Amino acid sequence: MTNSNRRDWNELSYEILVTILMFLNVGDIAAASMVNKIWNKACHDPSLWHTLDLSIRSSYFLPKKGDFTKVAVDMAMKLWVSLESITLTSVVSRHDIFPTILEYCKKITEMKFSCGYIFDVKHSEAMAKCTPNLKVLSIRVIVATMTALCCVLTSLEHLEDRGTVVVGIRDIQNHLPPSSVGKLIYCEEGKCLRCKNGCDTTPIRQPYGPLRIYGGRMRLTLSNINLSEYAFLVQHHQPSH
Amino acid sequence: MGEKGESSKSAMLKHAEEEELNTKRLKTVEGEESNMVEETENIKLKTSDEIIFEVEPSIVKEMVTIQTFIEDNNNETSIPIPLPNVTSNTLRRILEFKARGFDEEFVKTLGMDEVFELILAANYLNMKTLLDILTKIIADFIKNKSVEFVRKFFNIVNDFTPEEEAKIREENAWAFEGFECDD
Repeated sequence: MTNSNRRDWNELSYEILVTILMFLNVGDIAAASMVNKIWNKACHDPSLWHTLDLSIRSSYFLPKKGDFTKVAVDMAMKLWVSLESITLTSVVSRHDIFPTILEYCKKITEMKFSCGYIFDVKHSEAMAKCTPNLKVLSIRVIVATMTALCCVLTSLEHLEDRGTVVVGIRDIQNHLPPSSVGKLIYCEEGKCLRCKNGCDTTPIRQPYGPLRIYGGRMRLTLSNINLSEYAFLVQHHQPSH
Repeated sequence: MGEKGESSKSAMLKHAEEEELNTKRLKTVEGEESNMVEETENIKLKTSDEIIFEVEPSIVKEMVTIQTFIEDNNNETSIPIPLPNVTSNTLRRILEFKARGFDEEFVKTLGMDEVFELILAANYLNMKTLLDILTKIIADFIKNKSVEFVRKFFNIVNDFTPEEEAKIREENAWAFEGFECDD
């Protein structure tokens, strides 16, 4: 696609510009806000800030890797009191984010973990305490201990049925009470559409995770792991798969 | 003068042939479903450059603006409906796009000027599916790009003062705190 030599893209209505920005993650929106005054105004539209996606990104001028400090996360949370959904990746792989969410973002009902996030008991206990009203928990391409996973599924009472997908560990069902088993979708050997695509089909700033299928099986991204201890999880999707 | 009349006549004939092809293609794409649509007369749409298109009602259903116009005018469809914000080229593209079943790859072959016109037209006609596809394609161009790239690509002039720009960079610093800069 060639660039525009004649058209002034400022002719686009504010609404269209906001619609375009809806497809971008937080880093891209931050960059877009520096383009000009109209774009800056559109980047501050409240409709963009119901979801915060902190997925890893690479770019020509913005950072490729690193960690968000606690100060940075606190600043972000303060900005978005109306936040309803948050995506966390390895750039914010810390359990101390949950008290911050509890303090500033009381409307959160959806949490997504993705891209190398390490989820242990500290995280699950913090979640149970700080985000008790979660309806959707979506965990994808991360490492989680069985204990942490069971803790989350049993303590979050408002999780919707079929709200979480577990890949490759049927054994988990033996560790959960019947009420929590209904919250899982078991995906066997990467046959479902979500695994085959390796990405979320929802068009609003979702992380496109590094799921890959090799010979019909999920490729585990860590070596020497004990499958009875660790669960590899993927993002939640519709039960009809 | 006679020559001018002849050339416009041949242009209209060519246009009519193209439209017939478009209609055939649409029917082919829609398959059996198109046979189930009631045999109502085609709706005439008059573009900003005074060209009249006859479009099947099933296609017009996706154009909410036109649907509303028809309903507001007691379902009168014999008079051409004016589209002051849509050129014949753009409407032809929309019909072609619809015939291809909203093929995203097809849009990627177009120039940015055409995409721009399509976005304006899709917005004016209130065609949500088309608008979503087009805005997503634009968003894909913005992803992972520098501010300078976006300005240059979309012909946008930076209207910030140096002080304002510095302030915005500071506001956004939280998002990139602790990261290493690209080489």
